[in-house]
Amino acid sequence: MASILGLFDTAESAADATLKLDAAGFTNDEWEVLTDTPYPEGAFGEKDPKHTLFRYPFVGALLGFFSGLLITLGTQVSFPLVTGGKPIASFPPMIIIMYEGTMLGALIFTTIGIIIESRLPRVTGPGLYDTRITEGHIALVLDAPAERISAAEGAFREAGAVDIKQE
Amino acid sequence: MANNGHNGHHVPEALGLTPAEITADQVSRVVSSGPKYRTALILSGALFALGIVGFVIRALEGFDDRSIWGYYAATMVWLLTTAGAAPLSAFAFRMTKANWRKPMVRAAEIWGAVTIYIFLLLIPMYFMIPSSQTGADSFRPTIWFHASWGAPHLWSAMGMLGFILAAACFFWITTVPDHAVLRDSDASRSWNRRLAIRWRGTSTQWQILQVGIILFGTFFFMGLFTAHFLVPSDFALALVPGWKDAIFPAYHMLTALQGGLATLIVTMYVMRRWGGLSDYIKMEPFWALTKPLIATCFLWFYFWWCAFIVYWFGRSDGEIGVLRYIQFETYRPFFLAGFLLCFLIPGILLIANPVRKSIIGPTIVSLIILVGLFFDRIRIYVASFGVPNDEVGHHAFDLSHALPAMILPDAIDIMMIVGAISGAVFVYLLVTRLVPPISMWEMKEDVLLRVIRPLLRGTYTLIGKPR
Amino acid sequence: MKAPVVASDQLINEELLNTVLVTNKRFWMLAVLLSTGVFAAVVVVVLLIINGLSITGFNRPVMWGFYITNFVFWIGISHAGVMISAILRLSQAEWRRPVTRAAEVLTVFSLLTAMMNPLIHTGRPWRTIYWLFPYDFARGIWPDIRSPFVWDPSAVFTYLTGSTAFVFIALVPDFAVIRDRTTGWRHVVYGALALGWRGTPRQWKLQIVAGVLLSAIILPVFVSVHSIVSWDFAVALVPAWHTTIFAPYFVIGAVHSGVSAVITMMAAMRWLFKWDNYITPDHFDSLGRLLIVVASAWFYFTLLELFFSIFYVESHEIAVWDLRFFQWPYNLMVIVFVFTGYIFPVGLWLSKRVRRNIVAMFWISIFVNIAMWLERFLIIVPGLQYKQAATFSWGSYMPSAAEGIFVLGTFCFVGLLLLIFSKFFPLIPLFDIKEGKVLTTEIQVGRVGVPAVYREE
Repeated sequence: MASILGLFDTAESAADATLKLDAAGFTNDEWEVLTDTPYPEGAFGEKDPKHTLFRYPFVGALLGFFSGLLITLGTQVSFPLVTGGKPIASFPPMIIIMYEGTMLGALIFTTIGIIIESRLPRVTGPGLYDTRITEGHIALVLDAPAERISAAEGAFREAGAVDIKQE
Repeated sequence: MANNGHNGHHVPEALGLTPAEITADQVSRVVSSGPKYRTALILSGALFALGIVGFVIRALEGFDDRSIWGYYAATMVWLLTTAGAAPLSAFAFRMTKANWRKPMVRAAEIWGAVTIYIFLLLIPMYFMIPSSQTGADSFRPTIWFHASWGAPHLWSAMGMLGFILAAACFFWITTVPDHAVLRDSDASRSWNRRLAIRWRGTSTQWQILQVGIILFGTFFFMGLFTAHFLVPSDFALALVPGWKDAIFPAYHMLTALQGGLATLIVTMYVMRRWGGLSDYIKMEPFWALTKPLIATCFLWFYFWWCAFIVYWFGRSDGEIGVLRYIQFETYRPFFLAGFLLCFLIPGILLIANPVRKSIIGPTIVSLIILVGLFFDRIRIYVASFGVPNDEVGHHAFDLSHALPAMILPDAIDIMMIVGAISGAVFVYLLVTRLVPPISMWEMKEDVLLRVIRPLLRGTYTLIGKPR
Repeated sequence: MKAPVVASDQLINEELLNTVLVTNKRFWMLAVLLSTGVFAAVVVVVLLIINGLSITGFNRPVMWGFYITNFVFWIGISHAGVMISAILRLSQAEWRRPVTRAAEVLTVFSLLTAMMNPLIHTGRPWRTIYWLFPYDFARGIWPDIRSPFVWDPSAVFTYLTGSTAFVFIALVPDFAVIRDRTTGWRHVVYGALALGWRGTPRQWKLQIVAGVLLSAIILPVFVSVHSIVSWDFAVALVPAWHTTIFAPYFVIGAVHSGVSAVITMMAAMRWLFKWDNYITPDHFDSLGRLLIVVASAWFYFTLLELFFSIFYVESHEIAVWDLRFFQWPYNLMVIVFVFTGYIFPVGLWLSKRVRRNIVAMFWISIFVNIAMWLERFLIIVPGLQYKQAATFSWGSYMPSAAEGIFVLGTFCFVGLLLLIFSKFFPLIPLFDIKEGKVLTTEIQVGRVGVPAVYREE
């Protein structure tokens, strides 16, 4: 497998290049578009990325809830001191701390989920990449068998790529 | 929703009607009515008449014993909480320039006209509450404190009248351009000519219309706050010993926001399903309205909890008495029903995206909320009306004695409940003869400002937002 | 809403990273000034630890004063970030873009500052661990979770963790921009912080979903934090404190003061970093309109608090309100509070000319926060000063100079932290500004071009 990056100075030429890749028989599983800002979904005909982020907060919330339950019930049972005529296992104040625990769990797990689902961190760095992307250039990165790379390069050049890199 | 099949990206749909088609269609709806409409009108009218009979029978028993009027009060306040608050959506989402509001605003505004009917229902209730000189030590708490003249009846009624006036004005101002269209059509009637106030559609008139909507909308909004300050404090808080609860009017207002949204969603569903308006009212407003709706469900719990935790922690006799009476002992079944149906069940259902992104989902949730709010009003107003006069003004329930017993509805109560609700529907149906159920001028604006346009390889909705 | 001046992505990088990549003279001057204030506060804290609470003006029965007022105030300011970011993100308000980051960062720093206050107020901060954290296995004595003083740290800790995560996640794409513009050790550090970000559709989609999801989760936390702070007061049986309205009243008051603080900060950022193209009068206009609603809601809650405190005309409640409204110096404070907190600002915000005048907005926002600080003081001190039957000695509270210096020092501390942040990270989210540029355009209606936004279904 080889990789090729085509760099474009306008979104239009990058979109044009993706059409040419379609024509050359590439599917949108094989290439990715790199941009410095989110474009509306489907603007480059790219694959709709699927994710399971919504599961993370539920798992975190559940863990946080039970941690809250353990701490609140545990402390009251361990030190059974009556205050202000309230019962030893006082549920209303427990609910407050359990609620915070639930939310804390959800927040931490969501944050972890965002990083994992974004396929980050990439310990090797950004890989085949160009720093001009964060200046507004659009890059198309294609992974394909070495023999098909030249077809992609042709498509990139035809669409007006300002630079092409291979790895 | 169409799909371009390439990458899962949805291609948006346009309204598909021209301004001329919108006018022709809506004008024809005012002129002629279908069999479904006539059936609904006859049915609601008949049930309304039944309610009037119930009211007369109950009135013969007099207004002195407040406890027999509890269900009447709960129903009236339920209507104020639901139908009375529905127009707020039309104002609030206009102010945020939300484009999706356009097909639904009129459905909301027509409820503004119904508030006049709600006020009529309120009037008898003023004969039931004690004056500020009644009760223990010749004093009962009111927000009017020691004012002896006219308190609370006159001042409260004046406040409510202000609200009704604002609601009626708001309803009228938003319909002026549509009355002009009707005036110029074959369907012209004398009220169209009068209500259109010589509207010609000049730029100045459009500007004044916008300012008028903002002003009357603001008055309506303030009036709603006033109404949900006066009614709960005079008809609930002041009647229950020890119920010193500053958050209660805010809670009441919150339930009005919730009830207003739920009423609107159900109204939109009915208009789509049986009113033949499915070309106009699509999924977008349903989906958009579920966002504030879910917020109100969670806020329901929050506002309830804020009062509960302070009472639970305070533990004074009065506080524990109130908790026992309206929540955890006497009216527990109604409280639990309200808790489940206003907060827990709708809250959980609305978290699910598929429920929110549908038409039937938000409608079912809204119906659940409306039922829940009815139970909630019962535990508040039937309970408040159940406290005898000689208890009023005490700071605390005497916990050594039994709390007042729970009151269940009898046949007359059922007649009045069904009749009062049917009466609101009856009035609503009558008003749709006066103006079209879709705001023509705003739908035409939508045609101008909503464009489907390609961007690179995708196709998207482009929404214009005039400065 | 008028879009900011259209700039190329390169220019956006250059202008918004000017704080990170170069440092101007104003920056250093301000840094020295703020550091001096912070140093003075540190001296006060050291003196307090050596001498104990005798250097404060606490006097029976008023044992809560400036520190606790300041604590509630900074917790209030911390509500700005989530209010702006989460609500505007969820409602897809386009004008939010340059505002969000700074507001979120303000949340984090004001929370840190807020928590310092009760810790220092204890006089022996290291001992707070005894009532905060369930650790004491040896003696068998555990914290009382029925106390709001345990609820409080749990809420603040959750909020601090959540808002820090919120800031970090939204910074990742901007770290990548700085990574691509730096060399040497800075390149390595920003590279590590960017986590290998490339800008793929998956990463952008997650970034957008994250914004919405984290907003939705953090909103209920935001509401809980100030509610729980309010219960520090409301669950006690102190007259005029023991009221059910306190929680939402505190929350809406916090939003009022927090959003006002965002206005102060944005005007300062515009002046300091010359971001005239990004922070425009339109933003102040929108924030002003938002504040009219927020301030009015807050005033409604203020009236509910008043009305239902004296609903039963009970002598002890009346006594506290008498103290607030008619006794010196609280009566003067009430006048200042009502006028600078509601009547003047809302009266002025009704005028579009005022809303679009940045200097005016800057000063009004400062006055609002003076009022909001006084509001907290007026809740706490007169409530405690009420002469209860069981109290054996009464004095009145007169804050000492040390307390005043500490309070001013906290303002310098937050300012300094924001300044240091701006030296290392962009205070306006670069990718958000660039996204706004992609999504906004015009549609032609007759002879006029109407601003329009692409919406994804």
